Amino acid sequence: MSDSNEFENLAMEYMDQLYSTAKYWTRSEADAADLVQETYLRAFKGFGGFEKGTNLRAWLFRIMKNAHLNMIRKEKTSPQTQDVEEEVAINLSPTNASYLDTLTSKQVEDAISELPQSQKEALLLVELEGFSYKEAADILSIPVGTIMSRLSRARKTLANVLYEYVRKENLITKDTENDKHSGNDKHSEKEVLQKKIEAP
Amino acid sequence: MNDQNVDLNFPTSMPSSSCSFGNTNIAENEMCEQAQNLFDQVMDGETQNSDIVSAARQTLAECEKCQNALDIQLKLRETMNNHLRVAAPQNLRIEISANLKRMDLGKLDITDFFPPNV
Ligand SMILES: [Zn+2]
Repeated sequence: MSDSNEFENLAMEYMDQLYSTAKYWTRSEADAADLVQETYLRAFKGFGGFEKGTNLRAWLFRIMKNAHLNMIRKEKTSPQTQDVEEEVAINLSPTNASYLDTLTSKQVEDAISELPQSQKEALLLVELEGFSYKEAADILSIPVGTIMSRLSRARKTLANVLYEYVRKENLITKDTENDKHSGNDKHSEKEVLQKKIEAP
Repeated sequence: MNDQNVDLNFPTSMPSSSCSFGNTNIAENEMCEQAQNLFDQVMDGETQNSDIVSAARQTLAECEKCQNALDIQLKLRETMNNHLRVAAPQNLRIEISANLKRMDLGKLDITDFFPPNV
């Protein structure tokens, strides 16, 4: 088997994941394609140095993070509010999760693109790609504690931004606003949550 | 692994509206905030510490505000997974595969694609 065949057999299965993340990191499908291509070519070039049996997926994402930094440097266009740790309100304004049921993909994508780059990176690695805090910290070359704080801020910001979208569309009815004390419709969700919390 | 950041001294009985004993709003927010950071860790599979998990479970059972916040976090995860996953374009797959083979054959080097930075 040629080297490229071996590499492709191991690495190509992660392309959709890399591409999804790249799309929101770069906010452009063309840039995402370039970034993913650069990631694969650099990874193949450096594949001899990859320790077989370790986490290839995390290794590819780390290469993509570095390639993205190079891309930004080359273009001399800093992504929106990069490295700014914006404060958000402590309280979520939404009081019921049901507003999230009515969203379109466009709204979710727009809301993601409103996040500061540093928060977006942490959020997508953990939420979308399921990396552990430690893996995400290694990929982004930041401490685990920083991952946790960025993640927490990103989640709150995203929840609030999406809530504003829905409010603006007047899709939250007075009923929903007043529903916070009834809680009846949340019965099954509550069971799911309890299971989640109780899971080993 | 991140347990050192978690304060386990949660109140053992709480009113249903929030994590507070009639304290000021600031203290109430801080307690809910602390509880919600803990939920994040449980939700993200970052802790197996049974004290933390049971503190999370108790808080969840007793604080409506935290319950709502966790509802939203879990729904947010579902929403992101439903809306943000995209497939890489097929032509990108083909292009990358072709370029890897050309690199393998020594016909191209990485610098042909991406000149080194100055
Ligand atoms: Zn609370």
